[in-house]
Amino acid sequence: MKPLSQQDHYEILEIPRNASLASVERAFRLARSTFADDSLALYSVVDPRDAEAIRLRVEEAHRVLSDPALRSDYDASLPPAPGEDAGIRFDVEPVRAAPAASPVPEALAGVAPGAYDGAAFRAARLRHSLDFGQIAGITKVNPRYLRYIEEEHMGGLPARVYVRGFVDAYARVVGFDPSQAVAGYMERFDRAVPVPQRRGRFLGRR
Amino acid sequence: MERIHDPFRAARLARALVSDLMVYDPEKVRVGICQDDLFERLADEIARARRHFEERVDPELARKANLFDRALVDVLVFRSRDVPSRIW
Repeated sequence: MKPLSQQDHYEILEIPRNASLASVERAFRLARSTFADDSLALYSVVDPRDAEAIRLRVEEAHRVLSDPALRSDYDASLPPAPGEDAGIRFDVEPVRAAPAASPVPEALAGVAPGAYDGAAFRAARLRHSLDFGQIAGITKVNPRYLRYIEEEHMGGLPARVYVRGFVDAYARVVGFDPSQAVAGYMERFDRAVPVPQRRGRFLGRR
Repeated sequence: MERIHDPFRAARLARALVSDLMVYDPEKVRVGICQDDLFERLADEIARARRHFEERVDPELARKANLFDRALVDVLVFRSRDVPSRIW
């Protein structure tokens, strides 16, 4: 692993050089949450001064890469990236953005078509080394609901429309194709929760 | 699947796995802390999480940095510091 001072903005955010603006934003939010002052993930692992240095680099990387003009200038100043295609370590680019001929992304390994169940979400989350708090920090979904999604504790989840949004947000963070993941998971939700019970928790009881 | 060689990412995985133990069975953790038998009480869960960690992380990194055990203490024990116990 390169020392921090030798890493470019893409390496700091752990995204490929062709990452979309949305990917830059997602990577920035994730990095900011990971290296936050009160981050449990860093507790006792990183010296507070080092963490501050990383935070500054993350902010700077985001400032440059989220501005098309600055990014273009910056890209022109970079040396060619050897093996960039294989270097995606932390990218959460949705699967649908990948070319059709590309290998199956890491996040989809082990997920059979239509099998977007709770276990698949958990496996993908751990492949990205994320805990519920970090996913919640990015998606703004209550960690309890993220856990219920993984456990398929459908009775504990709110109305269908909310669950759909939660699953969509969760899917994007772990690199699933949101439309496939939502369709697959909601099918399971619909099978588990009878229609009358789905109304009411937030939409008002009849 | 390629193994993790980055110590930050390995530490994050260890903490995510250990954090899951707490999220999925908080009562068992609470009782374990309270009765000072946490590691015996959660032996199976910890072994499963450790196995997963060791399968994902470069063996030398896992051994040298002792990341999983540090996560157990930092996350599982440290987060339970408000539970009354003779440990403290």
